[in-house]
Amino acid sequence: MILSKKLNPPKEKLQTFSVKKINIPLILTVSLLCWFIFTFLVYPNINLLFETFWVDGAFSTAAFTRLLSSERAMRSLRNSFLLAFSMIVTTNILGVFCVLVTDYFQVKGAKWLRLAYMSPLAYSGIAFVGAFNFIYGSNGILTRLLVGAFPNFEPTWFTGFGGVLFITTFAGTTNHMIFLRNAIKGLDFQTIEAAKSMGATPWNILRKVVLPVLKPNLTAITVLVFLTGLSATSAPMIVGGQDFQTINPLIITFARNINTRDLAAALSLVLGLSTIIVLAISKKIEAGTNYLSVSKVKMVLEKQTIGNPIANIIIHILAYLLFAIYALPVIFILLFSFSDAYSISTGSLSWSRLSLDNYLMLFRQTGAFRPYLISIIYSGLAALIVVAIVLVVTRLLHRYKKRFILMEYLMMIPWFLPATLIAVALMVTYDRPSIFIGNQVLIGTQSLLLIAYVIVLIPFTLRMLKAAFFTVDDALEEASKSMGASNFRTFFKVVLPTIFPAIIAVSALNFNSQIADFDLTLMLFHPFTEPLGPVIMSATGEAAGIEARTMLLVYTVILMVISSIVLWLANGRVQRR
Amino acid sequence: MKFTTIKKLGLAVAAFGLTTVLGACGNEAEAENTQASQNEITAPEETTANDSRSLVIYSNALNDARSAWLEDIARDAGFELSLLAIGGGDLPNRLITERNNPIADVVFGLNHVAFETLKANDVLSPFTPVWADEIPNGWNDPEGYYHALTQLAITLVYNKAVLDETTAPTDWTDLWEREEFRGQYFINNNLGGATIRMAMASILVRYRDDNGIYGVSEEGWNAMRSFFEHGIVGSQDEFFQSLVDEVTPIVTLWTGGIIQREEEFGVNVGIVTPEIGAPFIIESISIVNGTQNRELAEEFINWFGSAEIQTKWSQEFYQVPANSIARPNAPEAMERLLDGVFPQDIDWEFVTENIDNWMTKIELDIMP
Amino acid sequence: MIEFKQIEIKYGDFIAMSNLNLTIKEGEFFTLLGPSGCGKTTTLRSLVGFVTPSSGSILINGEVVNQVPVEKRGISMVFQSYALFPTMNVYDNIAYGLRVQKLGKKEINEKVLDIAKRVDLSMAQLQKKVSELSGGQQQRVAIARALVLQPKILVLDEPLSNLDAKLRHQLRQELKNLQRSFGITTIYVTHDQEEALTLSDRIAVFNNGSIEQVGTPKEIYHHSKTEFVCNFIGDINQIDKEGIKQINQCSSHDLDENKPGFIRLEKVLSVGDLEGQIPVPTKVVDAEFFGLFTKYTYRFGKNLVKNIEKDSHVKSFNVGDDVNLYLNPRHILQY
Repeated sequence: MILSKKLNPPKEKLQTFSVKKINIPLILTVSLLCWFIFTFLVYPNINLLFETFWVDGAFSTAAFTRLLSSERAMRSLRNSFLLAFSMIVTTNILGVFCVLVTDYFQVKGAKWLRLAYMSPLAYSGIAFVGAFNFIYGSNGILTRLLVGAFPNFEPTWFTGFGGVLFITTFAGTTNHMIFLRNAIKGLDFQTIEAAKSMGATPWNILRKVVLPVLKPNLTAITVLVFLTGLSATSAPMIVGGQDFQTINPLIITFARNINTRDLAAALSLVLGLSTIIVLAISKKIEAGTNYLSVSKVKMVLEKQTIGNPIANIIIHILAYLLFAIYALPVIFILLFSFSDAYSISTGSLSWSRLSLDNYLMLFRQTGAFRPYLISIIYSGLAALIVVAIVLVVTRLLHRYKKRFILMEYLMMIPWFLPATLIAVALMVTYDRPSIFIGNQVLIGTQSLLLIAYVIVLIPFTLRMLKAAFFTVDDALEEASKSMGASNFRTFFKVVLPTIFPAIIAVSALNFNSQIADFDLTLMLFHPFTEPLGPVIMSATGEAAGIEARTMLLVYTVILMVISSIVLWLANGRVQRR
Repeated sequence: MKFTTIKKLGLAVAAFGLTTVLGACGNEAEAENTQASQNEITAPEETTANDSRSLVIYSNALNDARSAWLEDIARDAGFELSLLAIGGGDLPNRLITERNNPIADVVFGLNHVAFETLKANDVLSPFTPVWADEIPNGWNDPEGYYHALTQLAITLVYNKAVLDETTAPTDWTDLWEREEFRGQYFINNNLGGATIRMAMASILVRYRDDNGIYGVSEEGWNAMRSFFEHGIVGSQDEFFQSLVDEVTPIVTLWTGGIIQREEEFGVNVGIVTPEIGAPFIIESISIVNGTQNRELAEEFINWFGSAEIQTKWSQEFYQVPANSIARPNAPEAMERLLDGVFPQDIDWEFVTENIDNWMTKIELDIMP
Repeated sequence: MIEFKQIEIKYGDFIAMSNLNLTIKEGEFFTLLGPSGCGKTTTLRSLVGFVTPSSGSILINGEVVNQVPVEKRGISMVFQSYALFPTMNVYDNIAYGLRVQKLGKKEINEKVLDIAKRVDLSMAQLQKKVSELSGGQQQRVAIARALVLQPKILVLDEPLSNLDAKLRHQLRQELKNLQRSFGITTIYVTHDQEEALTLSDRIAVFNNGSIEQVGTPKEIYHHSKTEFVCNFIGDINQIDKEGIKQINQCSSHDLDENKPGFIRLEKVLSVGDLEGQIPVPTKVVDAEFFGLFTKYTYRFGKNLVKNIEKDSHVKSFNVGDDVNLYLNPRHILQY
């Protein structure tokens, strides 16, 4: 029934737009999209909710009452929100500072700073948390040093809310480094000169001229930051300790066990509803803040010197302190990945103990490359497919605006639900032949993980590509058509090349986010095509020995290298244009 | 509009096509009897091998070293194995989820609580291996769904550099009842693991009360609360390191993992031998219901469970064989794993029935 | 020939254009003139096909084109923002439409080089990115891109508005020359009356979603049909009712004393040797020296009246002088 309902937009379009002929390709495209959205975004989740809450012919609230009476669940929920809201403040401050240092103020060595500040792009999630834990955790190098220097120093100093917030804050600035930097580069330098000529201080210019222009970007980034905070998994799991556990690890635990899926679904609903509320609020805020530069002749931003020598010194010190925080985990992981288990467990490093053994051990194993290859293929395919699908949708949104608004909202569903629950929904729904997928069973197929990857990537991709689409000057399309080009040609020769940099950038980010994925992968992978996640997990799990810690570093380093290459390639493509 | 949409359609079809192609690959059950081609697609690196001798095996008792070893000796015996190591918590769920399109042919390593769950979910297929009689009485499933491979105990271990037999706890109860152990023991925060589940069961069955919550008296739940309150809860990747580093010198461990860890981490570990006994776990093997390679699976089980292979397995990885012929051949170093630790009297039916509820309650109401 | 018949265009509930009737002849340089928001661009876009009229019909050479898609109408357009494709170089921008027509490589090359020569773009410039060109050069590319297709109709939407004054004058002339040599029916949208007067064969003056007057530049200028047109085209003096009364008193003319009147600057003279002129007493309040001429402002009653005196060294007034101006009441327009 939902399916037939969603088929309405194209019909409506036909009536009002081109009465004379039926646009069969459009109908087919829209039908396919509707099928995709219904089959993979709507139906599984509804089915899951139905199966978990509809017990013996009645709606059961047992899971909710069970959760409400659980102090731990409620505390985790509170912690998640505490983390999300704290991150809004800390991440925005840190992110804006990083961007100002690398791209607005004249700071020495900005190039190196930028490289360090962007390092979280190369290793996300568990790898990033692991790396920070490797420095600051109770066994961390820095902690050992501090304990050595001050015997009374508490080795668990990093455990708890502070540590989690620290890690998630530093991991969360990637959005700033990508989107805010672009916005700052797009600033009209003349507005800054104008403010200067009117006697404004640098601080005043920053506050009254620069930041307000960045506000729409900041709002969008804030939403992303809030969502990552709300769904933080690795950081609380690894450094949260007993006092600061959040909701997502709990959801993952519950979702994995068939008997507790109702609890996972109930918690996810809470998260989903709060996400919807946050998105609605952000939409409201965004609606009021869209500053288009009015200047006809934009001038390229010139870096601002910091006049006040004391301020200059302070900013330089802070900038390089951040550099150290970002760079140290990378450097140490790299170094220790060449050392042996002894060095790692004692946190000591000596030349004699550095060797290529770890890498040789990994690559000597038969098929050691296979998990990498499989992960690369899965992430690459997912990145490609999601861009293809989202391009079609954004094109429809762009052309027909409001007509496909429902489609847009439905495609945002994966943002409202934790990835784990999406995985469970797919598993529960397609563990038997279903007419929606041609009477096939998805469970136990290689496509299941691919589909899941595509699903979770949709919201971010849609948001970014939609924004890119709407920055394309309508006149470009009109010019193409006025020269006789078809819509088809216009789209591929004019529109697509214009947003190509955005497509490449989003694809690279998508690729990197999936290649290191654990949650989805562990639940859905096919044993014949085992990606990195489970391989790393089994190399470091309960049954693994001391070598595992070394190997984890090796895996992390290789992941970083792959991700960095992807980013570098993407950046090259973008720059060349 | 028209031409744009054709291309868009193309993209969508391409995307769809990819998923269906991949879908077809994995959907072996649907494909008629195209055994060879199926293997070609799903396990490309094995195409050179004798295709009809391929088996997919799921186990929670594997790690990299064990998988490599097993693959090797199985190849000599004419089996081409695809081994998948999955944690004991996730493995039953995966098998149940896959039951309409099973990938695995054989599963081994799970305890009988998990095997009972699988049996109830129609995941297993009965088969009596040739060595079934060599297993002590009552260890195999009376209905013939699963048969014992190895036996181990779940117990507490301590770092001998910190504690000795006189200062170490004598039972789990000591951990919260005696002041000196507060903050000295590690609890894995992932309750999905088989080890911790059995440890919890060992504690809770002592407080059986059919009027209590999930069959456990209020006192039992309070004990569990104290257990968590006074322990250090952490993630599993640091639990043994924590013992080695003497941060928490006491951890819960399965006996099968002790010797290997001692060697790797270079520590000496003492084993707690509770008076009440420790949960004895029988790890078994079974054929997965719906396998396309039933004959080969049977052949593999007959081979793998045999006294000869189980002897090798125990000598290589210090696992106590369930097979009574292999058992005396186990290496000497393992004697201490068997001496002193004796089975706790546990009503496993009661445990099987309640363990999931217990774990959920612990997750929700007891864990810090 | 292009015909607009009873065209109405709506954006949602907003009526952007109503009851539009207009005929543009073959080969004509036709300008749609008016202030922003008057509907001139909407009219242009409806001709090109970006906007579909809610009622009425648009005919090109007698054929209704309402439902013909943009790309099939054979109308080339030059955009206000130029809309050059930033992802292509200059050559590819110009060749774009030719490639759409699937012409041979050689033919495309010939045509591109030919048009480049005519709009004064060098070979080196052809290989540049469009962002590397100056505004004037970008403008030439935009025009070349449109002309290379040898369209039946060329439409230009404020093509000179982004350029500085000098370049605007220069390109205006080139545009006119190009149009003449190609002989293409050209429809030009501008809010600049000077551009309209200098370039056009005929002009349609738009205001508030409808046409005020259609005519040759001279007709529009000298015989403005409405108050809006005479105000919008060229400089004009307004004389209030009191002034009209005063003029009536010293002439035999019978102007309507209940309405203000309008008179062009060049019809107000400081010498009275023509027939029908009457003297009007004024005081000089401002003199603006332009080099070629001086623009004087006089006070006449409560009105400020301007005129232009060629600088002859003979006649020059100072601020504060009492001066008699001469005008023919016949030249006073009333609406």
